[in-house]
Amino acid sequence: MSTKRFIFGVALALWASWLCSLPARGVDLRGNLSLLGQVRESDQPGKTEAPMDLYGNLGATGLLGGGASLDTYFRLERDFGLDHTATDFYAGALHVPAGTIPGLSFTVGRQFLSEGPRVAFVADAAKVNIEPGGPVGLTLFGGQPRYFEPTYSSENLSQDEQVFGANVHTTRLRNGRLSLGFFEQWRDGRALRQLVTGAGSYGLSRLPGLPNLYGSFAVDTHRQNIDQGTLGMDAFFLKPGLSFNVEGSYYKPQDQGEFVIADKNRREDPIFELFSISALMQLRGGLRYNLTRTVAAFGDYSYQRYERQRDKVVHGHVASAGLLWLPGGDGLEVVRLEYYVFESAGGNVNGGKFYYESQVYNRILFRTKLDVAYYEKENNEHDTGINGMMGLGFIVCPGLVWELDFEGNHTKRFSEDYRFGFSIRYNFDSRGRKRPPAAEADSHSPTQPTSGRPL
Amino acid sequence: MNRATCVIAILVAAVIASACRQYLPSNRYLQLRQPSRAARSTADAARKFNHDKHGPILGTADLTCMDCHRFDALIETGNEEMARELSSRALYPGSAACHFCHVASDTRVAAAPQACTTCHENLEPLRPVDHDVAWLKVHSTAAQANPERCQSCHQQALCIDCHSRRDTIQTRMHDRNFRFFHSVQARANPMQCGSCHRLDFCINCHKQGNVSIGQ
Repeated sequence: MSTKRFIFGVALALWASWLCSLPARGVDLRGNLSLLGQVRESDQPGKTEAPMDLYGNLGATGLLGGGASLDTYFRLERDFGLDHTATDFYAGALHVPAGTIPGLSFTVGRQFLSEGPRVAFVADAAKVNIEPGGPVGLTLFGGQPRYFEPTYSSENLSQDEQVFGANVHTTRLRNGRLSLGFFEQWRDGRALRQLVTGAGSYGLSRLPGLPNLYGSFAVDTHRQNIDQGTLGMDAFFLKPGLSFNVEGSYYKPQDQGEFVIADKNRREDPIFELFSISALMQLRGGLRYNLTRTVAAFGDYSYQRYERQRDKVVHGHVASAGLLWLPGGDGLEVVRLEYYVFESAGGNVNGGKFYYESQVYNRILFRTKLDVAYYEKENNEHDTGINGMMGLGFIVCPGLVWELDFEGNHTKRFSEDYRFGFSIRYNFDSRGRKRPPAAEADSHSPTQPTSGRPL
Repeated sequence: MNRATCVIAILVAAVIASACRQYLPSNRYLQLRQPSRAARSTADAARKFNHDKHGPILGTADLTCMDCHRFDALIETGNEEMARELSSRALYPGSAACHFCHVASDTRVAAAPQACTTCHENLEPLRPVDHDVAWLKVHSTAAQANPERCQSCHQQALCIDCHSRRDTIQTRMHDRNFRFFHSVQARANPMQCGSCHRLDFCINCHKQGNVSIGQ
């Protein structure tokens, strides 16, 4: 993609945003545009990278005379330093909810499918949900997954994949849902996984102190193998302000540990197989405790056990703990302090993070982050990585935010890695609201307080 | 003054500023923001009911006005505007009447959309309690069991942002330092990488020398 085409793409997105601001009869148009840029030193000597990314999440609701909606999400990139371009089309799907056709809802187009066990896909797919009014409903889905990670040369794994499946689920179970189905994945013309799947979550009560239970399993019927299982619960207590979560998982993709599969395209989880020859067991837990009205302590720990060689067991630990302070109690300011540690056969990492975000002014935004990590690896390499970032934003008008930021990184290898960046974010919809409804829930944008949630 | 001192000084200044926020300067551009009142309420859904759209559906279920509204409130006031306001409040049946058909229960009507965004604009007060602790790490089971529940508040872009979007400018899932010690975490929990990455992503850098500062 040339520079002219990149500029044309940006202009087209801006024109679409202007179009969306015009009133349309019965149709609500909405959008979320982000233009991000950064200037940084390249790892190629004497070169500078200057990538500029335009992310567009444009959509329309109220189509087809009802509640149908169209959702698109794309990315245009142009690196003006390296003369490199990229284009990603993440989503473009039409969703027709149950209200338009009684008992039937469907989504067609490029969409995100989360029905697969452990792995989610962006796929060119169709998904139909049939709920005629009884206690159970039926979901059918199928399509071709799409991947966006760069493959600079030939692919190691074939991207010729298909997924399809179905499940029967409850529709009237209050505070929960149970589903039972099958899921099949093909790669390079051969069946990779043929799973019977089940998943469910059920809240015993919305009352404090009573737990919410959840779990899932996947059994490979072809290979007579339990692929994965998860069982967990979470609960919260108003007094003393404690929330916690505990979970146990079992993971054994395919014929792990019994056969060596030479063909990478037949490996279910090739990255996992780089490290493990056995099943993996995991126990994890997390908690959050409100010390005062504005200060909360949080912690998270997970333990993993697997074999990297026959009878050579690896014990992996991942833990973090910290404090969250909301100085005004209103979420306009967030201070987050966190200590984290990883320990495994690969070495250990001890690090600390500090994050501060302020939106106390109507039009000024400020955020800063510092991450310092000391690591020792099994190859005797050790170093301290420092990453600092600071951003100052200005709300030009409701929905439009400009931000300038500076980032600095320091290690032995990259002693002076400085990056200057900017972002322009624009949220709009044709009803004239400051922000589209879903964006309120997806408040990654600095225009909305995060209420102290981790970013 | 070295770099570390600069960074620490800025952080200390930020903390002090946050502790003294009521004394911060204000002028035309520096007006202090008031916490959003709407954040404490879901009242934005109250006036969304469309009688014309619902009439035929409720008619087939033999529902009458009395099934949702109460008409026994006696309003005595000479102020016509106040009477109108009080009357509308008395007639408002509350969220239970809407949720009777729209939320998963024995009384749910199949054709009734379940998405929270059908009526609610501000979703922050509706955030489920299970989203609080370790939600980013354990949400996969809930998303597999009931993806419609996710879509009732979130757009697909939220899932794509973490699972599929590739971004070299800003960090989302992993901090910048992560590239130096990702091997340690990969060995601590090797089942995590495959949730978003494919083997090609590892091979690109490790085998073919395409390691870049920006990636």
